[in-house]
Order: sequence, then structure tokens, then C-alpha cells
Amino acid sequence: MTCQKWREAWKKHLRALSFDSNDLSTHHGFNTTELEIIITQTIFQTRGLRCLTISMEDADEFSAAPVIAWLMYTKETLRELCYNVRTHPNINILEKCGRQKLEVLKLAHNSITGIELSYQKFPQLKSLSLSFVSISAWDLSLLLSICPKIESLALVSPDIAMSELQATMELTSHSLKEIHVEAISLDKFLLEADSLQSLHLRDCNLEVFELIGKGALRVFKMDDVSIIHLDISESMENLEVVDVANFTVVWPKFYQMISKSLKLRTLRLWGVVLDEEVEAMDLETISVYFPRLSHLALSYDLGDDVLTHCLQGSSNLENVVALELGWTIISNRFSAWVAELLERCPRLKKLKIFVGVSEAKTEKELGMLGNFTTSMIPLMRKYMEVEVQFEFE
Amino acid sequence: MATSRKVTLLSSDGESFEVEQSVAVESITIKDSIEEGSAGNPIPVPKVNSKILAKVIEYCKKHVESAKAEDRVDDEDLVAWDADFVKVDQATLFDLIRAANFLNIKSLLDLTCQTVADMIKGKTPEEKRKTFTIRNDFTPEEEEEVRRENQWAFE
Repeated sequence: MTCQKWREAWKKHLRALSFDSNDLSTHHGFNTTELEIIITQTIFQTRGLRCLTISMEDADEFSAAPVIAWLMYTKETLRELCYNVRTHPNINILEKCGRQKLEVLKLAHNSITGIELSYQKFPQLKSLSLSFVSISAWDLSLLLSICPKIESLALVSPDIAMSELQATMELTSHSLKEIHVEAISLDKFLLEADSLQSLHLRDCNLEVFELIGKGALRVFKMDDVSIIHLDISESMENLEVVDVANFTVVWPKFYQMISKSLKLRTLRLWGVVLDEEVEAMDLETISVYFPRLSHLALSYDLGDDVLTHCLQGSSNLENVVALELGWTIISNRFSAWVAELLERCPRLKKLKIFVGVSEAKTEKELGMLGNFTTSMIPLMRKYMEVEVQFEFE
Repeated sequence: MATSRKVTLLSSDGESFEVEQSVAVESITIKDSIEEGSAGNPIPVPKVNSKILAKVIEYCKKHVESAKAEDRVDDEDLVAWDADFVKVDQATLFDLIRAANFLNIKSLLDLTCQTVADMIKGKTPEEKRKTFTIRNDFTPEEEEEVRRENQWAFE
């Protein structure tokens, strides 16, 4: 401790405490019991703690007794709790933590067993994050219902217990504004959220995904996601960002879905696998559908037919200022693609090209890579006002 | 194109700053007073002098502009810009913390406090005293007691 004033601040005014294994590792590897003692001694010196983070990548599990003590001691004042350590025996954190003032709850590597509607409520909870947490689909649904002000929900690799007949998850919330779901496989995911503004799925396999909303959606992000039947019962008029990468979906239906999104500012179609049934979204369509588009990112396999299809029409993308281009399979056509896009984006300021180096294995492919790089030089001289960046992957 | 609304902020030393309302309302304090109709014209900012208010306005302008762009490339630029923004002398840094607290600009408060936290991290008590020009006012007995209470942190 440094001086009297700092000590007083520590004892009376400390609001946030964080125990992070990344910080503590510099102190020569404390064992689990020593960590429990250090955390207990430190928390019990404080009064009025509002934020508590315990993030221990190295700890196997904490004993239930000290964890219960930490939660009970901070019950009356805690507003944010982040806890990612297993406890033995398992304790239901939702039972033990303060509920009345809690606004942010991030749990990982824990189990949630049973939600008691009669007395369990989280009246102030705005943000909930569950990572590698075991919970039943029913309890997850109930949990949302006891959080009347929840705005943000993150589910990362949850272990969701469901009926054997169909793996279904149904979530309803009138206050939810953003949801992030990662690493989940379901037969059906039904999300009813009138106020939803941001939807982000990552590494998910869904047979059916249904979204029921009231037109508030602004951000739609899919990353490594497969959805066989996508049903969005809400107007997409307010959509501003569509960011999809390695997305398996019925593309014609998806294009139709976003065709009314006149306010779209960012469009990213990355790693789209094109075949006889799947057409790329051509530049003419993009310019007509999305007049306010300012950021465009495209990564297509550029076969001859695809290039001709994509470059049809002559409309400019008048408001695009930032462009990202990439390829899934290296091709000699890429230079023509870049040249045409530079021509059609009169206000372009930034161009980022993702060069797939790892895909170039044969002499022919390496030659194509060299040719492409050479072809960029005159283009960069011609469009001096455009800042060009290359990212090799 | 609709003209954007402007407001005038008055620093504690009497200097006026005309800014877009969208920038001014990055401060929840100013936002609340505008919405309640209690904001004068100009809006007085009593606890913040002109040098610091100028910096705060610079910060808010940058963040409002970046929010409009919503570009991943700009996110990286913004982080770098923030890092440069806080490369100031200690007195200015603490004034920025006080201003961010009074004006209720959470992101600026988090940024400036994190900067100070990074200055404290990993230092012994004596190094901290030197960094922040603090006099050790513990008696030897008090210092020993504090050391024992948190022995693990001194190892």
C-alpha cells in the first residue's frame, strides 16, 4: 500500500475487484487453496463492492464454501459478477448471488439447475452471458422471463438439456436488444424478441431458425452458420449491417429477405459458395437495393459465368467508401474484378484485399498470385486517392 | 440535407465551444440537462477548464464520427487514436478523469482510469510513490500491518 489515502480508498471506496489468472501468474503459481484464501482475504477488506470478476483459467475448481462466502458478502451491493471457475460441489450461482441490484452476469463452466419463479427475479439485469454452462432449454426460457430488463444475451457453447424427440430452444423477451449465440446445434431455435436490434450467430447448425420481431433489427451477423429453414417474421426495413461469412442458407430466399433493407450501410458476403443453384449478388442489384451502402465486402469463387453475372449493368455504388475483397479459390479473373469495382465506386477511400496465400500450392497457382500482385500496381497508380491494404492469409 | 443542431458549451474559465448536439450528448450530464430543458444557452460546464474541455470535445467528436462509420478497419484506428489521446502529462490525465466523471462520459472515464491503472500495475509501493509523487505517511507499524494483510502481493 502506498499511503494512508490510498488505503482508505481501498477499504471504503473500492468498487471493482478483478482476480485474473493472467495477472496472478506473475506471482509464481498459487495453488487453488491459496487462491481461495487470497480472494477471501481481499474481498473481505472491502465495503460496497459493485463489480467482481474471478477469471481463473488455471484453477481446477474452487470449494463451494469460500465461493458462497464471497457471494453472500457482496450480495447487497454487487452490480456486476463475472465468474468462470467450477465449484465443488456444484452450487447454483443464481441462488447465492445478490439478485436485486445485479445488472451484469457472466458465468462460465457452471451449472444452472432449476429456476424458481416464485422468488427468483433479476429486476435490474441488463446483460447475461453464459459460456460452457449446463442448463435445460426450459430453465433458459424461464431465466429470460425473470429478467424483465434484459438487453443483451450471450450463449457460448452451452450444454442445453432438451427432450430426446427434438432439440428445440424457444426464447422470448420483449426487452432483448442483442443476442450472440455460439457453438450450438439444434433442430429448432425459436426467438421471439420485439426489440431485437442485433443478431449474431457463430458456429451454429440449425435445422430451423425462426425470428419473430417488430422491425427493430439493425445488425444481422452469421459466421460459420448453417440454417436449413430460415424464417424471419419481421420487416428488415431498418437493417443497417448484414455480415455473413461461410453461411449456408437458401440464398435466393435470403436475398429476397434483405432486398427491402434500403438503410443498409454495411454488406459483407464472405466465403459464399456458388453453384448452379446459388447465384452471387451482382453489383447492379446491390446498387439498386442498397443506395446508402458505404461498406462492401465480397468474397466469391470467380468463375467466368460468375464474373459476367456480377458485373452486369453499369450502375455505380455511389456511397461506398470502404471495400474488402477476397477469394476462396485463386483465379486470374480477380484483377478484372478489382478493376471493375474501383471503377464503379467513385467515392472509394479504402480498399482491403485478402490474399489467400495458403491456397496457392502449384506452380500455376503461384504464377496467378504473382500476376495478380503485378496487375495491382497500375491500378494503385491510377487510383492514388484510395488507400490499399493487403492481408495475407 | 438537414442542418444538425449545435449547442454552445462554456468552460469554467469563460471560453465558449460550439459543438454539434450529437457530440455534446456523449456526456450524459449534458444530455440530461438538455432533455429536462434546464440547460442554459450557453451550457455552463463549471468544473472543467477550457484546455480540458477542448480535449473532451475532441474525444467525443472522434467517437461520434467513428460510430457513424461502423467499419472494422476504423475500430482498430479508434483504439490507436485513443492510445495516443491519453499520452498526456499526469496533471492533464487526472483532469480528464475528473471531467469525464463530472460530465458522465463512461467510455472516456474507462479509458483514462485504465491508463492510470496501467501506470500502477506491477509496481512496488515505492515505485508507485515515485510515479505519482506521493509521500509515505505510514508509521513503520502501519506499514508492517498493511504488508501482512496482503503478503501475497509483496512476494
